[in-house]
Amino acid sequence: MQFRNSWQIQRAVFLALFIRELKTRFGRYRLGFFWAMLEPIVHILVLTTLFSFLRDGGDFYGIPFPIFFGVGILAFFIFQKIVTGGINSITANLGLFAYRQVKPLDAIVVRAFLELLIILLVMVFLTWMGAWFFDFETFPHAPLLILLVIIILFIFSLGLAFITSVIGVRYPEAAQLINMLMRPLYFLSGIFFPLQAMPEDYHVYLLWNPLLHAVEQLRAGWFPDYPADGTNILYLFLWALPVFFLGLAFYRNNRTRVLMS
Amino acid sequence: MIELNNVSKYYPTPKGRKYVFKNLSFALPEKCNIGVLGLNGSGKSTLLRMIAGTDYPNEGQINVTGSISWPLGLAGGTQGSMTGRENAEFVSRIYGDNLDQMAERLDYILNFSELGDYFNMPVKSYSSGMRSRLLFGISMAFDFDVYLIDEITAVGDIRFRKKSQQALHEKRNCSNYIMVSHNVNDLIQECNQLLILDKGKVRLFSDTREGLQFYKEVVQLNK
Repeated sequence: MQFRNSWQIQRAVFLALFIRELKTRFGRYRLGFFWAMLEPIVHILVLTTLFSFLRDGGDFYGIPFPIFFGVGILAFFIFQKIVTGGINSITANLGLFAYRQVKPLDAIVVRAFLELLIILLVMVFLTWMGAWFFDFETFPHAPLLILLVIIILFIFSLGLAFITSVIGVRYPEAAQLINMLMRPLYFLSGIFFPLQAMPEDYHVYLLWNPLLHAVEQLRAGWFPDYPADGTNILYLFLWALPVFFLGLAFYRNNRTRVLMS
Repeated sequence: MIELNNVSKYYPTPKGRKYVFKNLSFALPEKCNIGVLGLNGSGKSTLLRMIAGTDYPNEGQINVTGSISWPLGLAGGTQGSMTGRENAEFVSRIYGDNLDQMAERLDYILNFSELGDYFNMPVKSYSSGMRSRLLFGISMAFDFDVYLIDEITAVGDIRFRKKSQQALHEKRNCSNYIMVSHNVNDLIQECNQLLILDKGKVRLFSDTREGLQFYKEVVQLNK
């Protein structure tokens, strides 16, 4: 057998797992991408309908509701899909860890990456559709800021996925809790409101939530003159980095126990 | 080369640590087939898994050079929701095959495992014999320096068992194996060395008869 260096081996494992995950996601009826598209669209439609009763004008700061909600939902989905997707990422590949080069960590990273990729595709598609449907400039005005927010959000979510994947194997009952926590987070992360539309008194509390910072900063990158005052990337980053390393440490501490069960 | 350096392996229990191995240090000789004997629970499979890199010692190190197969005959190695072909493709990919090599490998595996139409069905629909035929076929499609085998020859019907032994024989020049078996006769026939596990201690015998004698004493003592 020919000699391969570590990077070649790692790349081969990532590729193999990526194709394996891709097949299970999209394999059977090839409807996977359709479902991935449908979910955010349904969220956008429900929120838009609801808010057209609650608020006059149909927009926030000149941004039509569907586009405003769309950006928030997609930002939140990056977080949610990666974190909850992590729960099953080890159990779904348990048989494959008999091969010494395949580690649970690889499966977690690959799955998170695939989730990100799907949402990015949906994002591009919806942006294109939105531009066509609404008479509104949907192309982001600061793509680099968006890229930065997405990268940091990915690191943050991946760090949590390391933790949820271990919980998914060792404490399956507790994994339900993770799914339940997503709902309140959905309401607290500014998906359907700009921070500035909230009473000033609550800002202090709302701003603890790093996801709010991600959502607002993503909008700031998307729409010119969006008032994202009070949120910033650095705060998100200062969450993401410790969470990422904490996740890695937690995984390393449990890496043998995860394989035993 | 396979070398264990001060290796300890234990499982936490409510009554404290249950040691499987304690401060184990030895090197396995190269270029020979090693048979592993030991009573139930003496840690044969654990040792195999640690050498295979799918389990870790709590203390110490295991140094390995050369290519080593995954542990054959133990649980794992296939994912039930994937078809036999997909499983084979996965293994081919993690060993860095390009598409031509993969096609060649898949041909061999399909041929060897004799799975026919089942090759394109999910592995969870396989019988245990079919599953081990697939896994053995996959492993034979590669040339590992060392094969790790846990009671593999006990699985499958007589005809397939003969075929597997034949395939292993054909690899004699480039590959060796470490085999766990309760079938002492098999081990004596096939192996040049015996590794005997007893109460967390390990003894290596280059004379298989001497090893067998020792193993019989171990069995007697534990009766």
